[in-house]
Amino acid sequence: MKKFLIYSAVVVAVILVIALFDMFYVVREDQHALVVRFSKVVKIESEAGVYLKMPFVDKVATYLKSAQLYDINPSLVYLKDKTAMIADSYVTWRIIDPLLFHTKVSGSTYEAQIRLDTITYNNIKAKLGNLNQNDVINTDDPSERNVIYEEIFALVKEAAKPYGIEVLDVKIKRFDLPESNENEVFNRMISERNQIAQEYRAKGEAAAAVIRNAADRNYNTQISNAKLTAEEIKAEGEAEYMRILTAAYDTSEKEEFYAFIKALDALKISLTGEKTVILGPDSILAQILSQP
Amino acid sequence: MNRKNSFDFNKNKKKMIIYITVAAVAIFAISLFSSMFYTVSDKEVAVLTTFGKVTSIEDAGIHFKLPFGIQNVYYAEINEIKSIEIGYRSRSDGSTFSVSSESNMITGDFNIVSIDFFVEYRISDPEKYIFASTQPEEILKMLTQSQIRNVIGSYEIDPILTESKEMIQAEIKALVVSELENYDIGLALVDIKIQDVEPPTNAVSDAFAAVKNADSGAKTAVNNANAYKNTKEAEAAAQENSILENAEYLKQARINEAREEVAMFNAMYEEYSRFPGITKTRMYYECIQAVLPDIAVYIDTTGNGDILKFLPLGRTDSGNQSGN
Repeated sequence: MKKFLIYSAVVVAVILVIALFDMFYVVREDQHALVVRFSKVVKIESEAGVYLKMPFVDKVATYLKSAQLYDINPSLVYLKDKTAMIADSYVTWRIIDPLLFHTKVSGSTYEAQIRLDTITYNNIKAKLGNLNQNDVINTDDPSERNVIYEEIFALVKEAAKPYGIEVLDVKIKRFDLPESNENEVFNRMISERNQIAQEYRAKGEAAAAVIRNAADRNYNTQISNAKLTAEEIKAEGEAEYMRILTAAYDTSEKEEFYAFIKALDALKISLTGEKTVILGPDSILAQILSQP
Repeated sequence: MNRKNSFDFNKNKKKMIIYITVAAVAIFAISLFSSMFYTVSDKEVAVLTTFGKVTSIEDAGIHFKLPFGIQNVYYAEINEIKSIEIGYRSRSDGSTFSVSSESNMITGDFNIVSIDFFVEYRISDPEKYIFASTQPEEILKMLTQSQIRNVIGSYEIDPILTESKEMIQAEIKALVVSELENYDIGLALVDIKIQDVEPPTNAVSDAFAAVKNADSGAKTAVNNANAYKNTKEAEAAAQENSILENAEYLKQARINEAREEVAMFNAMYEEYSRFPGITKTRMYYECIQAVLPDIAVYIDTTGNGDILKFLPLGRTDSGNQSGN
């Protein structure tokens, strides 16, 4: 009997100690805590600290308060102009209403991600379906895409509210052409480059030809000018030649003698070589030759 | 004997229990004691929570905390510049490999470019870094990827590959910084740099290289033409000089010719003016004498075409007397 009392006391003491520990629960800075009594949420604590609860009866469920990242799988979306693009997006979100989160998605992050996936995909599809490819890919201000994302974000945020989720941001992190279209782009890029290369070559050749032609023209012009100047110089010489000679035969006697010399010169030149001369009978030479 | 043994055994057993108990208590005490202290290195700070609530932030050194999870410590390396690689990954041996799903992206003029980034960031708020989000680095990486595509998607490929790198980096940085401020996850962007940028495939790369070749080929053609031009100019100058110098020579030669002729004439005239008749006759016959040897002479005695052939005088090589 005594032994039994001791055992009972020990058991009670152990139970009390356990109960003492089970009376408290700690909420971290990044947690919400829900106190659940017989499957019914009786208290919500969102501030960090230590709190009291009923031991054994109350169960505590904690949910992350901090921002969580959900990387959504890439999906194919069709734009207004029927072009396809790959949109790879992410969502940052947090549990803002733990009670709703607890009831609507049974407190499951996985469940929440499935909802976010659907909501985000639908809204991205809807928004991009209203845009042409040119509205997304253009050389305008890069922050314009953030405006598009902002609109998608606003819609997703609204749609996620019923799950106790606050969506913090939605952005497309990879927004590209489907792989099947990439080869087309590569081929086009190559053909564009070939065209540019051809243009460079042609322009280079043309520029070189212009320079060569100008060089040839300048050369020919310069030579031609030089020849003209040379003729003028020679003409000066000729003029000087004549001036000197004319000045030398200044009397009629000199003139007559000059004419005689020139006549002899002309005769000598015209009779050089094997030629035939016919002399008239009155010629002094003929008389000398025929009547010695 | 048996009793003694069992007595010894009991005694030993008691001793053993005491030893084990002492050892267990000692181990428990040591581990408890050691769990009450923690060290903070000088590149980090420690965030201390008491019953889940942040109660202090501790700098480098050794610090005390309460055991049994009453106080907890979280570390944040606030003095370290951390980095993210986008579009490539480094191996431990320093080499890198490409991650084309991150690096290949479409440009504003519908081309595709392969571009790698190196992102540097630091922890700006340790408390937010630890509690505000579950994966702050991943969030930053995805945000950066998204803003990189925003910016690259608004540039044409040529400036991306050539002169616009600085501007692109600055624009991405500005966008990430402003978005990151809204995120408020305790991270601050330090810098974002283009690590590498090139055309997306080898074939495209070759086409781009061909353009460069064509460009330098064109420049070579122009240079060659300029060289030709320079040669031609020098040649023209030389030729022009030769033509003009020759003309000057011919001019002078002609003038000299006149002067020689005049000098000769004057000399002859001086001789002639003394005995004009004799000199004239002598000059005439000297001339005839010089030309006659080669000539067949016919004399027309009738004056009506009845020609008597006279002999051609024998050809001698006389005639060294000048006819002048």
